[in-house]
Amino acid sequence: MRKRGTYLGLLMALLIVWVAGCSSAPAPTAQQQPAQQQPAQQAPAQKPAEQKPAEQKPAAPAAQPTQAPAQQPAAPAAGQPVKGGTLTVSHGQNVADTLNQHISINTTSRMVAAHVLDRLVAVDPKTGDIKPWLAESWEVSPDGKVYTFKLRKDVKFHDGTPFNAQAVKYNFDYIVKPDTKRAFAWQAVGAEKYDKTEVVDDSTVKVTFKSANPSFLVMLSDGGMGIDSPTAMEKAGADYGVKTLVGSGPFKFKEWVKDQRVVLVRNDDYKWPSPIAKNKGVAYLDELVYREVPDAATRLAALEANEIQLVTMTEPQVAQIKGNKDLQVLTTPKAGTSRMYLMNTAKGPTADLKVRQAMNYAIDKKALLQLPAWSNIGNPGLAPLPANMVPGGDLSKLKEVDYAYDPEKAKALLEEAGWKVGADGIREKNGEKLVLDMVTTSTTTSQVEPVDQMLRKVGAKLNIRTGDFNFWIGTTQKGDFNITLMSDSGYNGPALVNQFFRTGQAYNWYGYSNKDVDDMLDKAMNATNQKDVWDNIMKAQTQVVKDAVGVMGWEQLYVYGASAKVKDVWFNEVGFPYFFDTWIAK
Amino acid sequence: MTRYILNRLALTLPVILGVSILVFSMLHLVPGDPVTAMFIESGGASKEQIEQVRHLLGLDQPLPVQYWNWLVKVTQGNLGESIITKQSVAELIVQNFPSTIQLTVAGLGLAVLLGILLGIIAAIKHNSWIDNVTMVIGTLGVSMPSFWLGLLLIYTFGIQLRWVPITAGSDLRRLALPAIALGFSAAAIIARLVRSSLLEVLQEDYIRTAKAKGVRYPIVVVRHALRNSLIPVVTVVGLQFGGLLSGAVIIESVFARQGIGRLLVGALQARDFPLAQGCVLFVALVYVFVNLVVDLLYAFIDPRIRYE
Repeated sequence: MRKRGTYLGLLMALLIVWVAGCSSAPAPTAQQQPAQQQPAQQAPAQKPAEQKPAEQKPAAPAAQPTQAPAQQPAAPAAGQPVKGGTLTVSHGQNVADTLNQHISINTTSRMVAAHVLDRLVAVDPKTGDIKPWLAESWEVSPDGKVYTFKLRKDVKFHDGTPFNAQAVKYNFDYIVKPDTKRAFAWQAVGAEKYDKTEVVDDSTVKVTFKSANPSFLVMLSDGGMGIDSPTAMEKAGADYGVKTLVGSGPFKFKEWVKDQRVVLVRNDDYKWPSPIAKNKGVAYLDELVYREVPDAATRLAALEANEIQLVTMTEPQVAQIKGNKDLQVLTTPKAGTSRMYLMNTAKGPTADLKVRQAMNYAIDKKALLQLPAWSNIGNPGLAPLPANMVPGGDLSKLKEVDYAYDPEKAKALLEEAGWKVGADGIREKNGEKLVLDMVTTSTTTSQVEPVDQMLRKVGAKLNIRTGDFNFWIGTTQKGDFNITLMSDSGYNGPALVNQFFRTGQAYNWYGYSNKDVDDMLDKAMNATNQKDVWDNIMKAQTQVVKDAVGVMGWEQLYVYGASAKVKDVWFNEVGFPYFFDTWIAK
Repeated sequence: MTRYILNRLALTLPVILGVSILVFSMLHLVPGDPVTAMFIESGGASKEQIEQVRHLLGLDQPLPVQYWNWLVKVTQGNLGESIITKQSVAELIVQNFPSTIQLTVAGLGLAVLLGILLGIIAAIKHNSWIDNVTMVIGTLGVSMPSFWLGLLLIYTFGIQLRWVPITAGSDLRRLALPAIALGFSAAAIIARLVRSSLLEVLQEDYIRTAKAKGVRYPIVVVRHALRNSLIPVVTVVGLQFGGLLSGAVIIESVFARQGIGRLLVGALQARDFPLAQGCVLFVALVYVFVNLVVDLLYAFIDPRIRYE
């Protein structure tokens, strides 16, 4: 017994690791991969033709009507805002690494910090206009290299120290320090181009880049580019972002208990609200609490029990709370790519264009969205970039090359490609079965299995291999798959298309290479005006669809469930909720 | 006895070493690389940049070298720091362990109490409907996955009845549901074991003698029979402790509790090698220690057992 006890002990310890590895609880959801927010170099423009290179505007998620059955967000609430109350929010995991945005790589951490840290400028999510915030005005040199900001003089950090040109310099210099981990802010500031920041006087600061950095202003509005108090950062050292976070925002940092909660309290001295906010005074909420609840089912339960008033939800959960009058569903378009079933163009059956086209005809995108795994959240995808990411939301050119569901055509294409139906109904060619290796994360199984069902109707099937996020990256990166479900979030549409579809680029694990597309992407990335950028990007997207690199699955939305008493939640240009206007009805 | 304890302690070394080697290899055999994942989160990076960071973290060295470096540090009492948050692994474990221990002990306490109680009832009411009901509960308890039971409890007591808060916290009201979800299957196992063990003991001659002497039946059961039937139970309780520790991994996520389990899950998902290894090593240590305690308890319960 004793000896066995030792072995069993060993076994148990291993079992713990195994169980932990298998637990799917806080795994990335369908919407969180592969990458989180990505800095823009050239944000999509609403009205490209009218803009100078340095003044491009972002697409406006809020301006895009969604066809989701959910109630629309941010509808003006009946009644006057009332002050008071605590809003408890859960993004699942709210802070994965640190709240110090100079070194954080975590999207939700940025959503939290955005309430403590104000930015120099703000992007109006409705129009894409860039508005002054901590910076009263700015000038951009004609070559797009030098940005001179005039700063507000009345702004104080939560620790009482003044916001000024020195603070801005300290923040930007800190981001590009060589020993700072390459983080979101590093990308956002354009660190590779960054030259220096000079203090002209207390309220004037000049930022110089080695080459034009047209996306700088847009990126400055992101939560990850907030201005922290240099005094506080110096004082806290390595504890900054862990034990303290000091900005000038509408909420002050109270505490962060790792894996438990972040507590923010109202800043009663707040007099410099974002120009986009309706609220012109201090925040309505007494406290803003972010709770870590990794399990989606528990999150919804906590929402139903009113322990939490706003949570991120999965699509199937939307159907679950339908008809519950105490709750509302808020959706907002997600900045990033469509969710695509991308196919390996370099090897296996999908190296054949006809097979890839057949897959496109065999998959009924509209029908997929009706299934519980989607619950009608999102729109059928047309291109790598969804409508909310392209100028004017205009994807009409892409509609012309879209593959309408047509299983007969799919069968014909497969026949042409030499795949003949075998005894078991699955097609074969040279003794090989038409079984596609589908590599994806275990949380997305429900978005992959229906595709398998559709493919079976034309004589193909999927061999679904799932694991956690790292399994997925590790496997796809090696090109060890035929088809995978993939997307990326980010605000920089052109850069995303470039990363996904240029030969040998960061995410191009499926071996796609088309010289024409490479040329178009080159032109787009080096263009000096937005029209040229987008003309080339749209051409490249069209070619990608013609080459059937993937099935353009669906356009994604962020889905939040909230108590019906929570009013005036709005979402910024990248779809992050901002609670400065938010109040809780009695 | 002292020699026995020393022997056992010495034996734990290879066990811990074995665990750490296995965990290390398993972590590195699974596809995925923390640096790539990290960069993908922040918007992609060139191969050179990735290699640079891998070099800084020592991830470009051969696995045996990496393991050796880690082991050397551990023997010096340094568990290293998390790749992702840069916090000290030891500090993170110390912060999170009390919560896990609280949950595990609560779950185990509940399991032992409920298990022994149900076991006794089932045994003395052998073949009655009470026995049947108890054993049905037992079977249910063993078959139900704890996370499912957890969600069921949340739904019933958190949403429908609103008796208890659903998520997190360490006060007793918040501990109740996770402890039940965690301890229920162990309770079922213990109940079944107590029942069969007790039934066996109750057939013994000395029990008949006791009854013949006129000792009251409850006293016969508790004083004469129970103690003898508890030896296999103690073994199982010890093993269950390990089971509960691993169960806490899931329960902590379901109930959004702080703890080693949450820490470990997060570490594994981020391929945060130092943190994952630190957590597993620590849990293995705790487990080996508990096993040792259980072995020593035998002697206490059954004086006939002596370790030579």
